[in-house]
Amino acid sequence: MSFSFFKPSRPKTPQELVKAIKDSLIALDTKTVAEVKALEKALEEVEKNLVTMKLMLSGDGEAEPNVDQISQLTLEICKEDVIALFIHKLPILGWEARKNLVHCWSIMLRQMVGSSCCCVQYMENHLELLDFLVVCYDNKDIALNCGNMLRECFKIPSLVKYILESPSFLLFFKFVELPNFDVASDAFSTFKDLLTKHASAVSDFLTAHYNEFFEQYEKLLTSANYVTRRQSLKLLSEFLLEPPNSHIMRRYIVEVRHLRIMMTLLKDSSKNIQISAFHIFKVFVANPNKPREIKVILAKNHERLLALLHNLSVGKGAEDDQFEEEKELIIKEIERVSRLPNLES
Amino acid sequence: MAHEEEEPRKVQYPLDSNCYKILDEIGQGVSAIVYKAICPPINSSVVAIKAIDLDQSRADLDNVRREAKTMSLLSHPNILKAHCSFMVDRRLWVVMPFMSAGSLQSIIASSFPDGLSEPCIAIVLKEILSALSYLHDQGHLHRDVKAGNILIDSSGTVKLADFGVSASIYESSSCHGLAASSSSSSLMLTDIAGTPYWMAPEVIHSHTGYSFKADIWSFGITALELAHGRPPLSHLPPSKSLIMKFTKHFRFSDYEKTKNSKNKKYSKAFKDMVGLCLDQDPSKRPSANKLLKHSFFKNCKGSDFLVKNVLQDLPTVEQRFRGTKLQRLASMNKTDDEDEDEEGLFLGDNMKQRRISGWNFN
Repeated sequence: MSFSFFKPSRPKTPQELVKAIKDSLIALDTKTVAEVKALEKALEEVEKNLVTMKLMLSGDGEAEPNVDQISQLTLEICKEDVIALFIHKLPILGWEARKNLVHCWSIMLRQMVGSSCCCVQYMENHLELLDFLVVCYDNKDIALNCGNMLRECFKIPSLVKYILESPSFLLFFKFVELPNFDVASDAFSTFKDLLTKHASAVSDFLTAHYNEFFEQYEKLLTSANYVTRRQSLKLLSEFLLEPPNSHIMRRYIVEVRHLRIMMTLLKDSSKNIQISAFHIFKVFVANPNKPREIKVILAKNHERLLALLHNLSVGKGAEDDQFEEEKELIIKEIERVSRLPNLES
Repeated sequence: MAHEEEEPRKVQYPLDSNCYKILDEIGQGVSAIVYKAICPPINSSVVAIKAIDLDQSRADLDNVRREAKTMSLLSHPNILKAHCSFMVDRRLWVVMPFMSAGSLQSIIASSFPDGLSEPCIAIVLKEILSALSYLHDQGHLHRDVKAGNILIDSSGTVKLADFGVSASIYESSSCHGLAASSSSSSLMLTDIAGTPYWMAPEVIHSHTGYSFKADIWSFGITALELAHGRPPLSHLPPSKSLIMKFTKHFRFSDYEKTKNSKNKKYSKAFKDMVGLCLDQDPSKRPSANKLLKHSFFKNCKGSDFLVKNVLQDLPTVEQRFRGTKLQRLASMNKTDDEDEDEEGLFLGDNMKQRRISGWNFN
């Protein structure tokens, strides 16, 4: 029986709080399935501690949090290996506890202690934790919590670099097509962050894994799922047409198989997809150094392509003028290529 | 591990359109249709399905995704939560609990043209404040508080629907959730043009200045809407610029003087509460939490009071929808020259495409 009720309530120090959190998380292990009540109790304890941690990190809405306490707490969490516990226990925590943990995670991760972020360093030394979080997308109950934690991590270039090279990156090609729209949406946001937030990491990755990456990506572009097609196409233009990836783009636009996909998307039943496809297709055509195979395809299909392009319009407004102007250029170029004498095979 | 027992086991609705049987259409917008349906695999429970055509919707897919994620991480008794959502061809199906009495806007339009009584208003608004207080605590804004987004079920439970960036995905035009469009032609125009009547002056004035306090303004306007049957200024054309001119100088006291209702008297507590919400200066408006403690909400009655005084003898949601659909057809020949104005209310697909000249082929 505890007599804490009679004790003057002194708030816990960061060290005491971290110890309490650690003990309560470890206690989850010692309970077996048979002891349902004991496990419930242990989860309650974790939940309570996480609420205290959240208050210490972000204040209670009235009082501002104490900066020294935040630093101490963050340091202690790393020193005591509590981060690994947090991540490994995430799947068994309750709804509120998970939400509070995600909230605390974003604060701790960007917390500078001295000249460095100790939580980031911790993650860099325990990279397998990232793989653990990625795999959690398969568990629909915790997928969105893990997604939030991952996107916080992927603000840091070194962590992006790791996951791009890790086998778990390939899982994203599956997750973005999960039937559950919320989970698929979240996975796509993370996937997009990975490919757009850190240009040089992405550029290195695409250079090293060009073939396997685009083989996977082709499946997204040709997916039967409308959302997958539309957003993967848009994302493609967002990273492929970025200056740091221009060498990737030059490689991409001389390959016939990619041109074929864009031509297919150009006649998709969705207008949004047609327009997005045009913005990549135009690069194939406008390329002054088109290889012969590309010219042959354009010449062979020029009638259908011209018909498609003539019917394509974005609607109204200033963007329309630019679009029409580019369309005219592309049409002229296709006409020119189709008249080239030496393409007949 | 025993974690499965820990969380209250939620019913998992199937992610397959074949598992739902559509009964009736209960709402319609430019790019969304709302159906009443049953789900035979889940004890034939009744659901509302919002089917949004993502190819027609003006919304950027990024916003749609953000909305879906936000929704899933919220849980409050006064916030309408989707059971699940999945793609059916180009449409996003959002499966939600069926709120059998529909939206307060449609209830008022069909059965309470002069507004609800104050005790009823207090019950509804208190529940909505509780939802707003939760949303704001979680760092989210609703952005579109109005009677059309307040839904009610047969037991008198009140829920706030369509929040977040919903202004862009859950289609502001024409229809909101179960809210069949309103019956008077002037209110119909409201719907077509988005929802400027409810917008705080700072929101109309600058698109960046949206804070929690803008929701409080809309809440105040909603209070008047419930009391009066329509939002203030709704006799004016819904052009944003015009509304802006008026909201800038809008005072609750002026509204009282000019309103043409049948000498309806508001209590002092109600006037005071609405007055606080409609302060021109956002920083002077109370928070949702603080408003909950206002005297207007003291001795507030329970949901059974709503059942007795509002829900009795209401036409069904289906009947109301059919009624408004007929009216809409009758007024089809109206031109909607407000179309241009509407564009600005949506978050468009603003990704600028790189011009050809911008590339480097070398």
